[in-house]
Amino acid sequence: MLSVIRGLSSLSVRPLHLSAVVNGSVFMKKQKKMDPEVAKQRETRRRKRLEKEIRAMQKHSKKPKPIDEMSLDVRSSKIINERRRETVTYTEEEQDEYAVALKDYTRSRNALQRLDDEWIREATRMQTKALSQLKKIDPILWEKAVQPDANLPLVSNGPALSPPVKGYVAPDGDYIDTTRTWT
Amino acid sequence: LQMLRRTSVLTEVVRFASLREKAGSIPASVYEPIFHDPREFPEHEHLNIRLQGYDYVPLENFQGLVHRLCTRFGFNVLDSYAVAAQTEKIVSYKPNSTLVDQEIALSLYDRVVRIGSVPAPRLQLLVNILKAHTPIGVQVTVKSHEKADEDYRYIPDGLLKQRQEELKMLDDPVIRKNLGWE
Repeated sequence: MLSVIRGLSSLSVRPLHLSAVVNGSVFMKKQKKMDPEVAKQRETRRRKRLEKEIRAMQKHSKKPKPIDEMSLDVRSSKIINERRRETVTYTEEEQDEYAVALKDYTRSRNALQRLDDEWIREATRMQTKALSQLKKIDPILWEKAVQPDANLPLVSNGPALSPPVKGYVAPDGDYIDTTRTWT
Repeated sequence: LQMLRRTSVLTEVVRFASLREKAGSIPASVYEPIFHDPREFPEHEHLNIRLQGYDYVPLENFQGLVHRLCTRFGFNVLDSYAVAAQTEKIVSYKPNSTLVDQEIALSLYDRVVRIGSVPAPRLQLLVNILKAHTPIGVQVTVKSHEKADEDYRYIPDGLLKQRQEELKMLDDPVIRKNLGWE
């Protein structure tokens, strides 16, 4: 007992070093315990406020990117008065000529569309017939044949304007992407 | 002997068939009408047919043709719209030098046709007829519709994103600890 008391002599305990700097530090301030209910209320209030704001913004947030080719650009709108023309009047012969040409064109386009429709009809019919035959022969193969395409995305290009130029030497250059970013 | 015979008969439990058992089990069509799904093939999810080209006149005409062909096949055309163009500046240099020879500004125009209810085998037929009709300089991309494709049409809202991120941060366990009530 006495040895314990001897061990607790004040000489072996150093007093706290107090100065203006130490008193001002964060670790010297007593941590205020947040009342849990108050904190909970605060959090729910903040959450509700955020959700309300998000909903209000989402109402009028979807602004589509402007499509330049569908609107008159600024430069052209300024010089539009220079570009106005009077309406052209056609003679009787010209009108007849245009009407005949239009009818020929319409007929040709109609014929092409009919060919397309026939192709679609025939191809669909033949495909249905083939698949029904396959189902009779082998249902497992039919199941596999009828699955949605896994090879998407599918990219295909239209024909080129001209065949490749023989002995073409491409110039040096750079492609710089100038697409307007809205961030 | 007669008593012995009677007890052996009574050990079997004699049950007569109830009226329900005689009638059989109730078919499913009694309480709910049966709706048969007339579709015989599985369907693709919504598809985007994206048409890109440097000249928008034939591109727009082709967009109209794609719409017509899809309707002819019997697909449901959900949407047919334009997307903002991608602009590019091409700088070509004079041979063996860095002197600028030509500066060309090109725009790659974008049109999209969105289709739904596409039976899986019919898609290949559509692709074949599109390949046959594609005009010069047009690139056709067929892909499944994603949220990113729809978002690409609109200007991104920075403030909205900020708010949504704040809301998400409230669910972060590190920040929830500092809130003080958990």
